Amino acid sequence: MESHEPTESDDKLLVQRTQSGDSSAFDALFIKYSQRIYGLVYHMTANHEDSGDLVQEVFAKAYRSIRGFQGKSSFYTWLHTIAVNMTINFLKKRGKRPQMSLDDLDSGLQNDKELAALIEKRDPLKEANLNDLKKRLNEAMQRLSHAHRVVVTMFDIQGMPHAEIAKILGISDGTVRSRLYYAHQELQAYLSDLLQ
Amino acid sequence: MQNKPDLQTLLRMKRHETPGPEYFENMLGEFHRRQREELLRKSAWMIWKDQTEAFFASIRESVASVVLSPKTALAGAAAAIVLAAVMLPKSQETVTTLAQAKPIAPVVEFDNRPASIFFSNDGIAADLKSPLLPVRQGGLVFDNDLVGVPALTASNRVAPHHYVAEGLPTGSIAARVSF
Repeated sequence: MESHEPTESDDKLLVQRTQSGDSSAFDALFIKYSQRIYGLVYHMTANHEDSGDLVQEVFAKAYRSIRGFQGKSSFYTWLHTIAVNMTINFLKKRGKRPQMSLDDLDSGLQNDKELAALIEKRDPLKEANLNDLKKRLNEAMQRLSHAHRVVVTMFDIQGMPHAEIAKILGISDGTVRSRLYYAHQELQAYLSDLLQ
Repeated sequence: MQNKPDLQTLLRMKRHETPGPEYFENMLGEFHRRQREELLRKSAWMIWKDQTEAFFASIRESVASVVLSPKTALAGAAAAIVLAAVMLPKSQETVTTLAQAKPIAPVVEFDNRPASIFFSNDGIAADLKSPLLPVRQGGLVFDNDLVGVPALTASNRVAPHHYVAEGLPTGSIAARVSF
């Protein structure tokens, strides 16, 4: 789990410098958070190309609006709020047509014991199974409502704590937990043949 | 598949769905490129907007000076009658004065070439090549005439401009409207 305290003061300084006109300070914020924002957007949209465009738009909007950022929340929270809102608006416009364009699984998968066990024998059948697994999982995620998908993305995939998710979404801790519960129930139902 | 994962394990697999590091290295460059494009788009739009507003402002001014409301037209007609009545007895006295008077500006034929509209204060036509405002009598000068013309004098200026176009000094309206 990321520790936000030391980075929050760094972010404050970078934000202040950006507000004073130092665009290189915003570049530093971009480098720091672009991968994370990409992950959030990608797991919501399951489309690599759309995610790339959306990340650019999120940071463009943040750059345009940064003078109005008063620091009531952390930059991290503020940026994630922009990303969530823009992604949900995008998904509403896209409609229910599934347009998946999935990223490959990186080599970090090997470091996860349980996951590595799924792919221990690298034969074509296992690879096909792994890709099929990835596709089924993304299809199941796309069947969730936007509200459920975003909490699953932030909690289960990105590892954010409930409190942080609640701040970003502007809801209570209790609502986050309840949405997670129902989202998990739905995913269990969609993937019942694959799961324990 | 022999070992079935639980949901949390399966969802953890999604953390590893990510493009390679070079994708993120290129992202900042892409961000800068998009920012530059947006800036250029905004600049072109602002220039076009200002030029268009100035053009229509000058049209409005010239139309307002020509088109009179009915009340004003009536008052103007009455004033003209009174003036005629006063001036008529004096007309014979002013024959020699009229002969020496400046000629009335002829009507200028309009065509649909792109033009900048402005008027000189005294109506005197100036040589197009002179450093002064190259105004034809009637006040209509076509853009083709204005290429290479130096800046206008303050007395002939109609509307200030904010942008420099094609290297002409700021404040000059001797600029092409089209882009």
